[in-house]
Amino acid sequence: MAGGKRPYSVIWSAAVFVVLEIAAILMLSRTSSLQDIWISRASHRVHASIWGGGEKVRNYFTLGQENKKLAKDNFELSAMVRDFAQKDLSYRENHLYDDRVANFRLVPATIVKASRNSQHNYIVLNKGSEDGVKPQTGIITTNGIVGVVNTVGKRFSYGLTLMNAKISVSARIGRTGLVGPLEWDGRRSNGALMKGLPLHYSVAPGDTVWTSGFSSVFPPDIPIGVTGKIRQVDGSTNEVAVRLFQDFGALRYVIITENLDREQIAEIEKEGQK
Amino acid sequence: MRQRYIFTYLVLLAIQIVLGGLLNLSQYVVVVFLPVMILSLPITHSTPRLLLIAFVSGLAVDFFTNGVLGLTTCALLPVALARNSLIRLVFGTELLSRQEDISIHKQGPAKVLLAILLATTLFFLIYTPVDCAGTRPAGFVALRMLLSIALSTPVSYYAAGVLAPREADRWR
Repeated sequence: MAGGKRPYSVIWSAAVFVVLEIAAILMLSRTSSLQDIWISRASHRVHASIWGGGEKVRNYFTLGQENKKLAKDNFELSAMVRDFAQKDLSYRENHLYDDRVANFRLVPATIVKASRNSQHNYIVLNKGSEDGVKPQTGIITTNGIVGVVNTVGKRFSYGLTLMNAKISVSARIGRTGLVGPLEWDGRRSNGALMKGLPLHYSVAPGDTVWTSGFSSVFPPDIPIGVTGKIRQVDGSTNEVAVRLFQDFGALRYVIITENLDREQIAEIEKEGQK
Repeated sequence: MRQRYIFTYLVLLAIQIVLGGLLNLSQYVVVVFLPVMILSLPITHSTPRLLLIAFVSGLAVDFFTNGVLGLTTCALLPVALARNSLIRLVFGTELLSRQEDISIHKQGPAKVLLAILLATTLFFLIYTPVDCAGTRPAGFVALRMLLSIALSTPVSYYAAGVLAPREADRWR
C-alpha cells in the first residue's frame, strides 16, 4: 500500500512544485522588466534548442533517403567526370600542338605503359603506324626530350626513354655552344651526364642545355635541362652533370617528332661517303 | 507547542523582512535564512505543504522588501522540494522514518551546519543569477553567491537554534 502511495506523492509534489514555480516566474516577469527580459531571452534560447533538436531528429530519420539521393548524384557526377576526362584527352592530343614545326611533323600521343625502375627503361605510346609514326623518331614534351621510338606497331609504338643506358642524344650547352652526347646518369629520374667534353672549353654551372639539332631525330633548340657539377675524367675530358627539366616520374603526354627530311639527309650522307 | 512554533516562525519571517528591507550591507552580500526555516519545518509536513509554506513565505519577503514579486519565491521553492532528500543525504533515513525534527543538540552542530550550507547554497545558486538577470559579469555573480552563502550560513545556524523544538532538548 505504502509502495503504491509513494510514486503518487512524488508526482503530486512535482506537480505542485511546477505550478508554484511557474507562478513565481510569472510574477517575477510581470513585476520586473529586467527579469522579464532575462527570462524571455532564456525561454527563447530553450525554444531554439528544442526546435533545433527536433530538426536534428527529423534529419536523422531522413538520412536513408538523403543517402540514396547522394549516391545517385555521385553516380551522375562520376559519369560526367569520366566523360570530361575523355574529352580532355582527345582535346590535348588534337589541339594542344601544331602538327608541323619547320621540317618536323608532330604527333601528340599518350603514354599507355612506362617502365621507370630498371637500367633499360621504355614507354609504350598509343600511336602507331596507322597514325604515321615511324621507327627512329623522337619523343619530346614541352619540358624537354623523352626518348626515341624504337619499334612501331599498328596502333602502338615502343620507345626507349632517356632513362635507358642505350640512349645517347646530341646536346648543346647554351652559352658556349659546346656540343656533346647526353646520357642518363643511371640514378635519378631527372639526372643526365654530358660526357667527353674537351678540357679547353669552359662550362659554367647553371647553363641551359638544348638539343643540338645535329641529329635527324630531334628538332634543334629544345631546352633539355641545366648544367650542374663539372668533373674531369681521366685527365683528358670533362663530364658535366645535367638536371633535366622533364622529370620522368611525372610523365603522361608526349609528342612524337618525325623529321620529314630524314630520308633525303640519309641519301646525301650515303652519297657523300661513297 | 504548535502555536509557539508558528509564532517563532512568523517572528523569524518578520526579522527576515526587516533584514532584507533595512539592512543593506553591500551589493555583494545578501543575508537570507529562509532556507533554514524551510529545512526546520516539522518533518511530518508533506512536500506539497512545504512548497506552499515556502511560496507564501517567499512572497511575503518579496512583497515587503524588494518589491520584485517571485524573486525569493522561485529560489525558495527548490529548497522546499529538495528538503527531504537533503535530510536523507545528511542525517540518513532514520530521522525521516522516526519522524524526528532537526535539532542541533540531537543531530550535532556539524551535520546541521552541513545541511544548512547545502540548503543555503541551493537557494543562492538560483537567487543570485535571477537577481542579477544577466546584467552583471559571471565573476561578480560568483563572488556575490560565495559571500552571501558565507554570511548567511552562520546566521541560519543561529536561526536553526531558535527554531529547534524543546522536546528534542528534553529527549536528550
